[in-house]
Amino acid sequence: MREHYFRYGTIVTLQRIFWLLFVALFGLATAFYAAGHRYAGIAATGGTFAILLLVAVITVTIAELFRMARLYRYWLLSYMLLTILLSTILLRMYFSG
Amino acid sequence: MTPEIVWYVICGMSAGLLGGYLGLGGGEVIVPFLTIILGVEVKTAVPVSVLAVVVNALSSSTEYLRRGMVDFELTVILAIFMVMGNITGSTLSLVVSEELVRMLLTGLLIYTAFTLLKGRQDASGLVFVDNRRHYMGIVNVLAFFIGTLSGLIGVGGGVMLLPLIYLVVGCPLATARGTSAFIVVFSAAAASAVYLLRGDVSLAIAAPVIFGILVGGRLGGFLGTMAKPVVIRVLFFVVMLYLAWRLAAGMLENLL
Repeated sequence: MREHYFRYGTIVTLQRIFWLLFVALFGLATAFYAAGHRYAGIAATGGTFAILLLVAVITVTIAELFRMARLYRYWLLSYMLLTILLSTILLRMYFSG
Repeated sequence: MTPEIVWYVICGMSAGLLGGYLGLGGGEVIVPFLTIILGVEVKTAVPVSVLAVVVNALSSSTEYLRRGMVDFELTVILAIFMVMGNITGSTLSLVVSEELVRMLLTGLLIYTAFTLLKGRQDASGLVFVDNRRHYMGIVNVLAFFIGTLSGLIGVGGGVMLLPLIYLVVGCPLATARGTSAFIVVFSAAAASAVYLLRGDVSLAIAAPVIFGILVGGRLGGFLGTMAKPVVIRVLFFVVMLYLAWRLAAGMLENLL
């Protein structure tokens, strides 16, 4: 293992920023749904897309951390994972019409 | 509407606490809670659960990442095989009978529960034995099958990943918990994106469940880093037996 090359802090910081964003968006959405406010759906949709964006950003960050650590095999594998994730979504969308 | 929303938040918090503490995705809590206790339809509960699993795994893994309890090399490799397995499982679900799947999973859960309770036979004292050089091929195949099973039954797969990483790869239990929670992020993300883009996710339910899971997951992840391995093993044993019982009961109901 060459995990000690890794800067865990980068991903932790990303997750913490997004965690605050999620709490704000889903907290707002929950309050809006409880009050029957029309902006509830917008806040919830924004939060949901933010989740998917974070997963993509984390994958790219991991890949780049591998590149910086000169672990090129894992760098390629990380982008392969991102490609598989994206192609799964696109293919399923295509076949589900 | 308000009392229902409070219950959805409680549902999310329960899943977050249990999932974060045990390194699971939390889907095993959300679907039964929403369907059995709150009377939500399964078709509505499953997309909400899948999306919440991603958030729960993200939330609980932050604490594991901060403490260096995630093996990134293992994460990338196993996530690839898990996602590929998920695709296969989703496709196979059209042709494989549900009883067969339930039976296979029940057996697997019971076996793993008892193996995990017994603990890993490691005589090397403080230095743990890393088996990945010898068993990585088998581990990848098993990750693929776990992904396939997860795709078939609609769970995150953390319940099966943790024993694989702990018992077969030979990672310490703390690393296994963190890594399995992190892998579930990727395996559930693809499925949740599809549900979302299809419009299958009920946001009125998902928003309060996710809000609850964000709070509960953080607390569960923190508790998980402090817990003794024996406590985790016993808790995991109980959860696995409960899941096995649920699966077996469902299977018998369908057969009789």
